Amino acid sequence: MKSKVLVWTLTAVLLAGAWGLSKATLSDDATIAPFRTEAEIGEPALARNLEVTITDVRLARSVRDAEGWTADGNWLVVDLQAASVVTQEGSTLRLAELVVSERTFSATDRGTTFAGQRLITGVPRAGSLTFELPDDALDGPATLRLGLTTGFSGEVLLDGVIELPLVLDELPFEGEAVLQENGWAR
Amino acid sequence: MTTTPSGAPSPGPDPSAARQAEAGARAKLLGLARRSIDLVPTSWLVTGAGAALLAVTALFGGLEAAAVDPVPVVAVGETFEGSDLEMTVVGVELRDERGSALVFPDEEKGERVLAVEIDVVNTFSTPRGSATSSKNSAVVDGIRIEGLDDTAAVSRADDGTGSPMLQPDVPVRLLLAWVVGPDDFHDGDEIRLTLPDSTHRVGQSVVRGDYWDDVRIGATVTATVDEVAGR
Repeated sequence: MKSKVLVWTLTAVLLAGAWGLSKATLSDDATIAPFRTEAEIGEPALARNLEVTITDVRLARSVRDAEGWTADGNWLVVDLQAASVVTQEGSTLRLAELVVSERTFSATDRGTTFAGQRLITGVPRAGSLTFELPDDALDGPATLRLGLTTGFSGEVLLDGVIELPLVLDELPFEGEAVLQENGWAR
Repeated sequence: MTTTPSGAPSPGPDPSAARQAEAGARAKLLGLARRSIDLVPTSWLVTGAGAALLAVTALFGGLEAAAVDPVPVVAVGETFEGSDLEMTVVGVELRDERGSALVFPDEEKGERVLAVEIDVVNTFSTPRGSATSSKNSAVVDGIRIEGLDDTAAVSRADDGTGSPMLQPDVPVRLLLAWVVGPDDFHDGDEIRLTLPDSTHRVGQSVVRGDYWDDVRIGATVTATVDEVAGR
């Protein structure tokens, strides 16, 4: 009787231990996950080869770029300055995304914006990124993520990503936002 | 375990005695069943099982090809959902000039532009390209016109952005454009479009991330070519 109790208790303990271990194990992606740096508006943030200063974030009903392209919709506009730190190789600002709860939006490929900008080592470029959002993604918390993508993967692996936490319904709202012309930071 | 020792004193209507009687009856029945099965030769059993299997197969149609679900037909203006995209064909136009389409007809040869206007919503949770480099595309450039071999050039109808990214839940009107010969299509022609469908998969070991596989025709649309003068 005693040995039976012992065996069953041991089984329960081992099963619970195995379950706990399976929960505590990091995912397969953990070995190549990016390193996060949290940014603040107006403060420079550094992630290995990327230095970004986000100067302004706002929402707008329509946007206009320096070349006269305009579009209506729900837009989140981010003014920023960015430079590479170590090398110009692969220093294109390809990862620019906004995560709003379950959904991820990439910086728009319309008009002329800072999306896909070639960065120069040590000399910051300035411009604006904009995100086109659906009507039901304009409130609650969101995260802006910026990074230099790894190879052709379209994502950042084993490298730094700069993240700016935002609360969308606390952002200032404009009728029309004028995007900065891509150029050198002043 | 629960066997009562035989010969134990059982005063009155003892429940254990009733159980014993029941067990005896069951043993008798089992013995009878076993003896009757022993009467049937094994080969008969095997043949019988085979016959039953064949009968069941025949019941479900035997070796006849299983009925394939017909490809749904949607009308112009009706929404079809496939490949995690909502696609609504708005109209088909035959134009002399390219407008905001991303094709370049040779005017001297009299080439024209066949443009399909389509509303698309990406219902997946991440942005997706509207065109791929693959021949067998699961996204917007997987939409084909029967009789044309080429894939279309995809652009936005409003500002002409080529092969735009489709942001989640943001509706967009796209133009699919083909360069066609001067007499290939005429006003009022009926053409058949095929809309793609596919299965979403997540890469496990070699492939990373989300991809859409098993591309097939999800629906067909019959539309009338509308000739637009000038534009």
